[in-house]
Amino acid sequence: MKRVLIVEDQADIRKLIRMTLEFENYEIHEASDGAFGLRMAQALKPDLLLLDVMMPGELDGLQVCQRLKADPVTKRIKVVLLTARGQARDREVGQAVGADEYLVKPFSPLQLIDTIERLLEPA
Amino acid sequence: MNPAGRRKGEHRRVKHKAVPARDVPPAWAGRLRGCWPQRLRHQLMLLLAAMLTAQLSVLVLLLPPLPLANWLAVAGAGAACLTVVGLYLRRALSPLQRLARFSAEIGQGGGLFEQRTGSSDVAELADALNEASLTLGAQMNTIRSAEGRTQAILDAVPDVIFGLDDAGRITVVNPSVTSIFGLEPEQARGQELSELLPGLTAQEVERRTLDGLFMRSSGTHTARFESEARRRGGTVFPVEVSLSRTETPEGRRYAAVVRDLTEQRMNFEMLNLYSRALECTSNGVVIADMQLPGQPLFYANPAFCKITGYEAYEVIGSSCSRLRGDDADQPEFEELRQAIAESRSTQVVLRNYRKDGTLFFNELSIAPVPEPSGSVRHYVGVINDVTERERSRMAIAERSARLNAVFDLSPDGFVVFDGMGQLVYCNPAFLLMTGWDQSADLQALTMVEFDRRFALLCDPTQPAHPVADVAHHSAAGAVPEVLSLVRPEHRMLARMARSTRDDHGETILFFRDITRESEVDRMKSEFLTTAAHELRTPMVSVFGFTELLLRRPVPEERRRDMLETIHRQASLLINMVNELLDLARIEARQGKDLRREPCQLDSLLTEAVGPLVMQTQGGQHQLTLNLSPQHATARLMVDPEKTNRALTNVLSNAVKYSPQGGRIVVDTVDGHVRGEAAVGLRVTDQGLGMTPEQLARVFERFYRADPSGNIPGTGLGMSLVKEIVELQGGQVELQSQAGVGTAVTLWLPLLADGKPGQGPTLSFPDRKAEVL
Repeated sequence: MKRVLIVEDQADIRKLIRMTLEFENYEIHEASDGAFGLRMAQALKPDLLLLDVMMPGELDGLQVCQRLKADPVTKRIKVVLLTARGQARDREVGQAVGADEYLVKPFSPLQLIDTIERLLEPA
Repeated sequence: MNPAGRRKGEHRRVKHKAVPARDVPPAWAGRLRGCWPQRLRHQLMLLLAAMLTAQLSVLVLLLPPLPLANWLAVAGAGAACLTVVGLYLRRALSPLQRLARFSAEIGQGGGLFEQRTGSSDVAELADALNEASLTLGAQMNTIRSAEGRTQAILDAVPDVIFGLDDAGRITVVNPSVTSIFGLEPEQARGQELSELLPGLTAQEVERRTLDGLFMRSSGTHTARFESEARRRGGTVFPVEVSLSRTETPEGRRYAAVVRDLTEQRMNFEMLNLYSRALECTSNGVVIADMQLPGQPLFYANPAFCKITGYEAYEVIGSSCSRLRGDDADQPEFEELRQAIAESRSTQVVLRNYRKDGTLFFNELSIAPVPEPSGSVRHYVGVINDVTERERSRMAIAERSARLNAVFDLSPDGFVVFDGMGQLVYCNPAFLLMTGWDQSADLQALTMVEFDRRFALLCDPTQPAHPVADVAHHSAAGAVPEVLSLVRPEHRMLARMARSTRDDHGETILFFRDITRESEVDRMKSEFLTTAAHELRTPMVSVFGFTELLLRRPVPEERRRDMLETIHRQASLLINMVNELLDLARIEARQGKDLRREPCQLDSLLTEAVGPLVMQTQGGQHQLTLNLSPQHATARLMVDPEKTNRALTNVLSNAVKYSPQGGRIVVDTVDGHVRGEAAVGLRVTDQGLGMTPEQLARVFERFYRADPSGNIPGTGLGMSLVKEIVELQGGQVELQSQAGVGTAVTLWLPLLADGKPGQGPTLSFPDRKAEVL
C-alpha cells in the first residue's frame, strides 16, 4: 500500500483530498503546516507528498520540497505542489526546488487521482 | 637775418661798436690813404731820374766813334751801373713787398709786422699796418663769436631758414632742413626754393615780398603766408612761410623761414574731431561747473537733448537734478553725492524723466575733470538711455524669480550643470531626495564628482549611468532612467537629462521621486497575487466537493457535510468579493461616497451591538454595552452605515477570536484625535489575543491571525475598519496580548457641539500598539 502525506493548512482542503483518495489503495497522513509536514515526511518516508505552497509558519511548501529533495534519504519521495499561483514564473520556481508535479488550485479531484497514479506507477 | 627786429637791432648795435670802420674811418686809414701813393711816387721818380741820367752820360760818351775797348768799358760801366741801380731798388723795395704781403695776411688774422730795414716812410706804413692788424683782429674775434652765436641759433631753431640769392636759389640753410625736408644742408644748397616749396619761384618770391610789409627801419620787405611743401620722397605737408627781401650791394637777397604746420594742423583737427565726435555720439554728454552754486551745466551735447527732450538752452545753467522729477527717493543719489564729495567717478542707473514726463532709465557715469592744480572744478557726465535694457533685465529678473519659485516649490528635483560641466544649481527637492546639504561644497561640482557622490547613494547592484552619457544621449520622449537609492533612505527616482544645446549648453537633470508609485505598483501586484490565492482557496472546496458529489455515490450524512463545506466556502468567497469591492470603492472614492451626517452615539452603538446580542444569547459570550449617559447623546459626524459596518467587523472579530467564550465589553472613552476632542468606541474581549508580530500585521490585506481556516475570515475586515475610520477623520487603536485578549478602539472626532470628555481613560496594562 502506497503511503501519501498531505501537507496543507486548510482543513477543508485536507478533507477534500482524503475523501478523493479514500477509494484508492493509499495510506493517508496529514500535516497542517510546513515544519510539521517536513518532520512527518522524514519520519514516515511516504511515497508521495501533496504539498501546499503558501502556508503560514516558518516553512512554506517550496522550502519543504527543497529540503526533502536535497536529502538523499527523502529525495525519492514524489512531490506534487498544490498552489494558487499558476503563473509560468511560479511553475519555474516549482521546478527549481525539484517538485515532480504542479497542480493549480482549484484542481479537479479526478485529475489529482490521475496525477498520483501516474507518479506512483512502477516505471 | 633773424626776423626778430629786436634781435636785429641788438646785433647791429654790437656790430656798430665793434666795427666802427664802416662809418667812421680810423686814423691809420687816413694816413695810409694820404701818404702811401705820394711817397712811392716820389721814390719812383727819383729812381727814374737816376736811370735816365746814367744812360744819357753813356750816350754822350759814345757819340764819337770809339774803339772796341771803349765799347766794352762803356758796356761794363753800364752793367755795373744797372747792377747798382738794381741793388738799390731791391733794397729800397723789399720792405714794401713785405708790407704788401703782410697787408694781405691781415685779413686772415693779423699778427704784427716786424720792421727791420726801410725808409721812414716804410716804417710809418708798417706802423699803420700794425695798428690796422690789431684792430682788425679784435673786430674779427668779435665777429667770429657773434657768428658762432648766430650759427648756434640757426642750428637750434626747429624752423628751416633759407638764404636765397636773387635767382631764388638756396645759398645757406640751417640743419633743420634735414628733419623737415629730409635733405642734408649740402643737398639743399644750390637748389631752387620752388623745388622744396612748389610755386615759390624767384618771381613769386619777389612778388609776394613786394606785396608784403615794408619795414622802413631795416629796409626789408616781409611776407608771411601758409603754403604747401614737398618733402624728399614727395610727401606734401602744410607749412607757414615767412619771407624777407633785402637789397644789398650784391643785389637782392631773400631769407625764408619755413615752419612745419603738420602737428599744429593735426592738433587742431583732433580738437575739431573731438568736438564733432561729442556732437555726434549717441551718449548724452554734459559738463557741470562744480564750484558754482547749484553746480550748473554749461555744456550739453545734442544727444543729451535728444534723450531728455530738453533743448540745450533749457538745461545749460541749471542743474542736472531736474531730470529726476519728484522721484527723489532713489539710493543712487546718495552714491552720486558721495562720489562728488570724494572727487571720484561713479556709475549709477537712475529713474529719470524726460521733459514730457515719461520715465527713462538713465545710466549715468560721472567723472571729475581735474585741473592741473589737482582741484576739481568740472565734472563730466555721460548719460545713456538704458530703458530697453532695464526693461529686459527686469523681465529676465522676473522670469528668473518665477523659475526659481517653480524650482523651489517643485516636488521634483532639478540639477543644472553649466556648459563647462560644473554644477550651478540644485533645488530643495533634490537636496531632500539625496540628503545633501546646500552648504556643502556642491557649487562647481563637476559631473564626474557628482556621479561619484551620487553613486554612494545608489543600490550598488543598480548603478546609475554617468550624467555626461545620459545627457548626451537623451532626447525628448526618452524613457526615464530608474535609480534605486539606498541612502539616505530607500527611494526610487526617475531621472531624465536634457542638454539645452549640443555640446556647450547647460545640462539639466530632472529627478522624480517614484518611490510611492513603485511601492503602490509593488503592492498592487502583491495584492493581486494574494487575492488570487485567497479566492482560489475556497474554490478548491467548492469545485472539488462538487466534482466528487457529481462523480461518486455519497452516503447521505456525508453528502450533507460536503454540501455544508461547499456552502461555507462559497459564503467566504462572497464575503471576500464583497469586502474587496467595498475596499476598492472606498479607496477609489477617497471617502466621497461617505454620507456623513450628525449621528448620536447611543443609536450608533445600539444598532451595531443589537444583532450580536441576539446572536450570542445563550452562548459562551457575555456581551455588555457600557454607555455612560454623558456619551449617550454625544454626536458624531459620520456615515452611519459605514460606521456600523466597521463596528460590526470589530465585534464579530471579538466573538470569532474568543472561541472559548468570555466577556465582550463595549464602552466609550474620551480622548483626542489630531488635537480635536474625540470619543473612542472600545470593544474588549478575553479571547486569543495576538503576539506583537501578529498585531503589527493586522491591517495587511488578507492577513489572518489564524491561518488554519478554523476561524472563518477574509483577512480584509480590519483593513476595511481602518479605511472607514480614517476617512472620517478618526484613528484605530489596538491593544492585545496573546492569551489575554484584545481591545480595539475606534476614535472618532466629536461634533463641535458634542460633549467634551476628560481625556483617554485607557488602562490596558500590556502591549500597546497604536496605528495612526
